[in-house]
Amino acid sequence: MCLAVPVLVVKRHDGEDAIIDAGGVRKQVSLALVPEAREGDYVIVHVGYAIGRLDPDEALKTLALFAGMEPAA
Amino acid sequence: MRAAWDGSRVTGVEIASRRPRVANRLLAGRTVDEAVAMVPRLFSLCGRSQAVAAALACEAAAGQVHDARILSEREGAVRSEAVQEVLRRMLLDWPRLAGMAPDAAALGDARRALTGDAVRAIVKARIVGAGSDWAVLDDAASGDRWLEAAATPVAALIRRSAAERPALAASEVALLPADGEAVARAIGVALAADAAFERAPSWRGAPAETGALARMRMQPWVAAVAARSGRSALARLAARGAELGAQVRPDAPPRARVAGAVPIAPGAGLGWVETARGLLVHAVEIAAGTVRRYRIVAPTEWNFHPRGALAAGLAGVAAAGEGELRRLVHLAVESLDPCVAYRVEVSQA
Repeated sequence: MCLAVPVLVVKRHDGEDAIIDAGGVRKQVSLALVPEAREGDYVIVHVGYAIGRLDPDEALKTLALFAGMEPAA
Repeated sequence: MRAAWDGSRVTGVEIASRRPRVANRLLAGRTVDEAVAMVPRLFSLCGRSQAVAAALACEAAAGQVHDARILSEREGAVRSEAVQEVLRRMLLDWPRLAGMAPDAAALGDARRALTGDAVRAIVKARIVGAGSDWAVLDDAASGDRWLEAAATPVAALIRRSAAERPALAASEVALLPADGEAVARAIGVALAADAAFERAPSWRGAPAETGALARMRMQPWVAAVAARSGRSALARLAARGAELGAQVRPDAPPRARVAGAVPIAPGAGLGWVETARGLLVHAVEIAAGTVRRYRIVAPTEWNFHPRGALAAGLAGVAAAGEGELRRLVHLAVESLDPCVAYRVEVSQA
């Protein structure tokens, strides 16, 4: 199952592209499916597209959950 | 995944999952309400289906009987999520595989509309094709005619698969029965007997394939394609196209159930959901209102089993060059729609 790891929108370019930060790794993604996303928002990304925008409180709670998890055996 | 290749054929396939097995680690020890609230936050692609499976499992474990109206609402949520998932694949990923441009604008429209006439119109224009009737896939002959003529990326990808490599990734791996309730009951027995069942699930002692081809195998056009090409990537793509049409057409046929609950014992229950990718089962054990054990048997575990449909289907595939090999492997993987990112490695023997 694909885990919904929230990532931070760091910089929004003109048009649909944005830079996100996923646990320190920066990548370019498309915001075509969540055009309302702004810098500072958390989104869920799948294969290069942000597919959902999250409430920041929810996103931080979810990140805290994942952070509390030990690596898989 | 790693394909061993001798320069002309695939001689071996290894599939290793690096996914963390999170369900039990995150959910055990929480109250039932906490667990049910957390599940949709954890899974990005099918959050509502996961939420429905979790609620049904917890209710079954608690001995709660839910009324038909609630189940019907949940099934509606599962169906609309499945349509959105399939559209995401068909509008973003399938065009790329067919060498065409992705259609994020149409997908954005479908996501905002969520369900109803607007989604139906998008499927008609972008998937079936404006010049084709909804009934085009109802029988084998008209399905083949559609495939020859339709201009949509979905038709283009299926047509190219049929022309280039119709039997790609065909395997003898059995299809999971389309009766979700019966399969879920059997999974309940298997989970009780095997502590690691969910990592490599089996049906009657062998791996099995779940998903659109398993559900649509009796549909006349899908059956005709599978009779010609086997349980192949081509048959899976055709089944997914036919299933989407059947789900959204205005005169949709009576629908099979897509979710249910199975009580196992006092304090133990299962919830099952037919998602876009196949059968999803949540199994929970509860004591004093707290989750003691939580296991999820997901579609990807069936189809990407080390000896499952993908591994068996890729063994022996002929490819003259590494570029061709990679393209075929990607098409085979996409036909089974993994819910995780994957990497293909080729090792030359």
